[in-house]
Amino acid sequence: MTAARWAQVKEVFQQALLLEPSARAEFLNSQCTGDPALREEVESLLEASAEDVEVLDTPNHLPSLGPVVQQVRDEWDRGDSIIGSVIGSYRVQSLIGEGGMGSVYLAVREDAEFRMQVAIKVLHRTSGGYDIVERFRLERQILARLNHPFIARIFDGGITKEGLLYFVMEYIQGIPLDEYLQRTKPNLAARLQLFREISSAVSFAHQNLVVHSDIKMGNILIMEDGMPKLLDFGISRVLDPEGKERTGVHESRGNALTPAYASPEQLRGESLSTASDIYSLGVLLYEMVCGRRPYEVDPGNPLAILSKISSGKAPRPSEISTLPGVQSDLDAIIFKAMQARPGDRFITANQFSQDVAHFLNHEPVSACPNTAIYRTRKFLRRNRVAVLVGMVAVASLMGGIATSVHLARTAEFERQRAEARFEDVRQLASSLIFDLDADLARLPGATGIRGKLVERSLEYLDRLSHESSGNRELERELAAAYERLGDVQGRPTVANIGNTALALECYRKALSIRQGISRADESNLQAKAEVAQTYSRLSGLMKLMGDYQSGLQYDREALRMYQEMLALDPLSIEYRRQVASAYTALGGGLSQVGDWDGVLETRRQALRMFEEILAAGSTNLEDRRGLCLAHRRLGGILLMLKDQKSSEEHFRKALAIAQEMLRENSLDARNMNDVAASAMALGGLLHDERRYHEAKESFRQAIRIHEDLAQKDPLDARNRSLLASAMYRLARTMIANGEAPEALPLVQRTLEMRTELAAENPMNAGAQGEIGESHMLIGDCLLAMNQRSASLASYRRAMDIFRQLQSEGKENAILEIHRRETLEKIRKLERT
Amino acid sequence: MPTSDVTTLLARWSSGDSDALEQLTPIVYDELRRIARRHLARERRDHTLQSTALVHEAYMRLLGGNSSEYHNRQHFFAVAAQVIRRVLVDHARAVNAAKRGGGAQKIFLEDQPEASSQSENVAEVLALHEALERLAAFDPQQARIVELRYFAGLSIEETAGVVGVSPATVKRDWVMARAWLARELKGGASG
Repeated sequence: MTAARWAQVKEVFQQALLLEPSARAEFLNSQCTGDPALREEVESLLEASAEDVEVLDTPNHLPSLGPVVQQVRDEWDRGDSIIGSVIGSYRVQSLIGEGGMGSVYLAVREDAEFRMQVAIKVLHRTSGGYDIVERFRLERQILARLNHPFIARIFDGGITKEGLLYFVMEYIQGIPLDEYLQRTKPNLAARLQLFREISSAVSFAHQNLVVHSDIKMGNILIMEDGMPKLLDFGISRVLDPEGKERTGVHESRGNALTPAYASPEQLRGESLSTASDIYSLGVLLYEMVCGRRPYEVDPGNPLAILSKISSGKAPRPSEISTLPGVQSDLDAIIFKAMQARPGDRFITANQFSQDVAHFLNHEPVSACPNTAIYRTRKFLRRNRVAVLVGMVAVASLMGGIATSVHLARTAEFERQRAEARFEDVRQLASSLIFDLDADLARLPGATGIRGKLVERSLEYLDRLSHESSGNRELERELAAAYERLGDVQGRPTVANIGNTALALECYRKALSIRQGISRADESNLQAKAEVAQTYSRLSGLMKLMGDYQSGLQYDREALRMYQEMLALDPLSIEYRRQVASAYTALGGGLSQVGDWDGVLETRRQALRMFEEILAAGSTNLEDRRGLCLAHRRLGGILLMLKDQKSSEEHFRKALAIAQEMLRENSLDARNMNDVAASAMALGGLLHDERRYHEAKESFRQAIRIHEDLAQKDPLDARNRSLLASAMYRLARTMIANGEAPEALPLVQRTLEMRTELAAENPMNAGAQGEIGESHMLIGDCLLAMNQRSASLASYRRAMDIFRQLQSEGKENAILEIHRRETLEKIRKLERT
Repeated sequence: MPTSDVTTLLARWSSGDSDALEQLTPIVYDELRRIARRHLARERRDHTLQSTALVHEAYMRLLGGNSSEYHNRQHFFAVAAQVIRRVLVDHARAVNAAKRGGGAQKIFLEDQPEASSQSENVAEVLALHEALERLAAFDPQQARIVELRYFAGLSIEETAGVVGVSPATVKRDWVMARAWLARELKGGASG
C-alpha cells in the first residue's frame, strides 16, 4: 500500500461511510469505474468497520488491552517494596501496621553518632508539591516543644522518592486503647485515671497552641507500663494549617475523619479550636466508660449524626454502662464535654480532667446534672433553629470541597422554605460524596469527575442563592461555600485542581454576595472582614494568572476594607493588626512588580501600625515580633534603595527588640531566631559598607545562636542550614578583611555541613546550590592565599554544580550571578 | 520532579527540541509505575484501572496542580501514549520470549490460571503493534490517532486536540484505521 493509493481509498471509503448502506453499492459503482481493486478494498474495509466511533476496542475488532495492563502492573508490583529502602536518613526495616491513612514502618537511623529506632508513617497521599516540607519546617519549632511523656514525638517529615508524604515519629511499642481496655478490663477508677493522663497530654498540647483534631481510641497507644501515648499530635497542623479541609472525607489525611468523634463544628468544616478536642475527649471518655460510642453512625449517611448531636439523645452512661460505680454525675461531666455548642463545653482539658478527679473523689462536680439538663433543654428550645449542615468532600485525588448551610427557621412558612433548601443541600452532599465516590472507584483518572463535581456544586449553589435573597444568614453561608469551591478550583497556596477560570467565577460570586451584605449594613464589621478576605483570594488568583496589576488592585481594596473597619472602631488593636498585615501583603505584591517606592511606603505604614499597637499598650508578644519584623522589612527595602544610613537604623532597632525579647524569655526559639535574623541583616549591610569588624561581630552573634539551637535540637535541619549560612557570611567577610588563612577552616566546615544537609534531603536543590557556593568561596579564599591551582580546582567544582543546576532548570537569580562570576574567575586564572 | 520542570520540558519538546522528549519519557514512565503501584496497594485487583486512568492520573500528578494550559495537556498525552505503548509492547515481547524460551518467567506464567488466554492476548497486542507500524508507513496521522485512542484511551475530542485536526476528522480516520487493523489482524487482504 502506498500513501497515494491509500489516500484514494480513504477518499472513497469516507464518503461511502456517510451514506446509507443501501446507497453504497451505487456510489461505489460511480467512483470505482475501471478500478475493481479499489472497489474491493473499500468494500472490505466497510465490512470490517464498526461505526460506533466511541468504542475504543471490542473483541470483534481490536484486542483488549486490559489483561496486558494488568500483567504489567503485577510485574511492577512484585519488583517493589519499601522495606529495605532509605527514607530521609532512616533505613526501613519492617511494616508495623497499615491503616486507611497510610502504612507505618519501623526504621532505624544509622549514622556515625547514634542509632535510633523510629516509626515512619507513609501516607497514601502524594504531596502535589513541596509546600508540605516548607510547612513542616515552619511547624518544627512548635512540634519540638511538644515534649511530653504521653505524646509521641514527631521528628521529621518530607516526601519519599515515590512522592508520598511521610512523618518520622517516636517508635512506641504498645496496643491501641480500645484493645487494651478489652484485654485488661480495668475498673472504672482505673479507666478514669487513664483518661486523666490522656487529658493532661491534650492540655499540654493546647498550652502550646497545638490542636490534635483527631483524638480517638486508635490514636492512643498504651505501653507496657500502662502509660498512654497520643499519636499524630501536630500532623494536622502540617497537613492543613488552616484547619479548613478537615471535613467529611478527609482529603488531607487521605481518609475520612471519624464522624463518631468529630465535633459538630468540625463536621461543618469550621475552623478548629481546642474546644473540638474537648468534644472528642468527651466521646472518648463515653466510650471508655460505656464500651460503645454515644451515637451510631449510619455509614450511608454520616451527616445524620449532626442532628443526633444537636438533639443530645445519647443514652446516659449510667444507664448503659456495665461497670459498677457509673453515676449521673459522670453523665453530667461527659455530656458537658459533648455539648453541641463549643461555648457550652469545658473551657479547658484541664478543667474537664479536674471534674473527673472530683467525681473520683466523690466531690461535687462543676457540671452538675441539673445544670446540664437545664442547659440541654434550654439549648433545644433555642434550637428550634435547627442547625443543618451540608458537608461535602471529594476524594483523595483532587482536593476537598465543603459547604455548609445553616438555616434559620423562625416561623412555619420559613421552616418549610428552610426544609426545601436543606433538601437541596442534602442532595448536593450525597451526590458529591456518594455518586462521585462510585465514579472514583471506577475511574481513578478523575478528569470527568472534576467537571461533574464543579457543575453540580455550582448548580446547587446557584439554585440556593436564588432562594436565599433576604436571608442574611443563608447568604453568608452561600458566599462561604462559593469561596470554598473557588479554593478547590484554584487557590494557589492550597491543594487545588488548577481550574483558575472557575475559581475566579466562584470568588466573584462570593464577592458580590458579600458586598451586598456589607452595603446593606455599613456598620457590619464582620461583613467588611469577609469582603476583604474575598479580595485577598482574588488577588492571589490574579497574581497566579500573571495579572499583577489587578492583583495589586484587589490588595488595595482589601486594605481599604480593613481601614474602614479600623475607622469604625479606631481603638481596636485587632483591626490595626489586620491593616498592618494588609499593608504587608500589598508590599509583597508591589515588590513582585518592582515598585520599590510603593514597597517603601507600605513597609513604613505597616511599621507605623505596629508602633501604634504597642503604644496603645499591647503586651502581646506577637505584636512585638511584628514590630521587629516590620523594622527588618523596612530596613531591607531601604538598603535596596541605597539608603544605608536609615536601613542600618531599622536593622539595629529590629535587633534591639529581638534581644530584649530574648532577655525576657531566653528559651523561646523564635526569639533566638529573630535575634539571629536581625543580626544577619545588619551584618550584610556592614559588610557592604566595608565595616568588616562590626560585620564579623554581627555574624558571630548569629552563629552563637544557631549553635545553641543546634545543640538543643541536633535534628533541626533548617537551623543547621542557617548556621552554615552564618558561618559562610563570616568567612566571606574575613576573606575581604585580609584574614583568608583564618577563614579557610570555617568555609571548609560550611562545605561539610551543607554536604551533610544535602545528603539528608536529596530533593532540596537549594542545598546543592549552597554546596556550589561554598566551593566558590573556598576558591576565593585560596586565591587570596595565592594558591592558584588549588583555587582553580575549587572554582571548577563550584562550576560543575552551578552548570548542573542550570541544566536541570533549578537556577535562580543568585545562582546565575554565582555561575557567571565563577566562570569569569576560572577564565582569568586559566589565562595567567 | 518539580512540576515546573515537566512543564518546561513539555514546552521545549513542543518547540521542536527532541532531547526534551528523551528526558520526559523516563519521568512519565516512572510516574505511571508509581500510580499503578499505588492503586495496586490500595484497590482490589480488578481490571478497572485501564491505561486511560493511568494517563489521566499521571497528568494530574505531573502537571495538574500548577498548569491548566491546554497545550501542555496535549503534549503530555502525546508523550504518555508513546510511553504506554512502549511499556505494553516491551512487556508483551518479554512474555512471548519467555513462552518460547522457558525459564523462570515460564514457570510463573504456567502458575497463572488464565495463562493461555493471557498469552493469546499478548500475541494479539503484539500483532496489533506491528500492524500499526505498517499503517504508519502510509498514513502516519491515522497511526497516531490509533495510538492516542487505543493506547492512551483519549476521547475523540482529546485526540483531536493533540493531533490538531477536527473531531470529525478524528472520527473518520479512527473508523477507517480500526477497520483496516481489524482486517489485518484477521489475516485478511494484504495492505
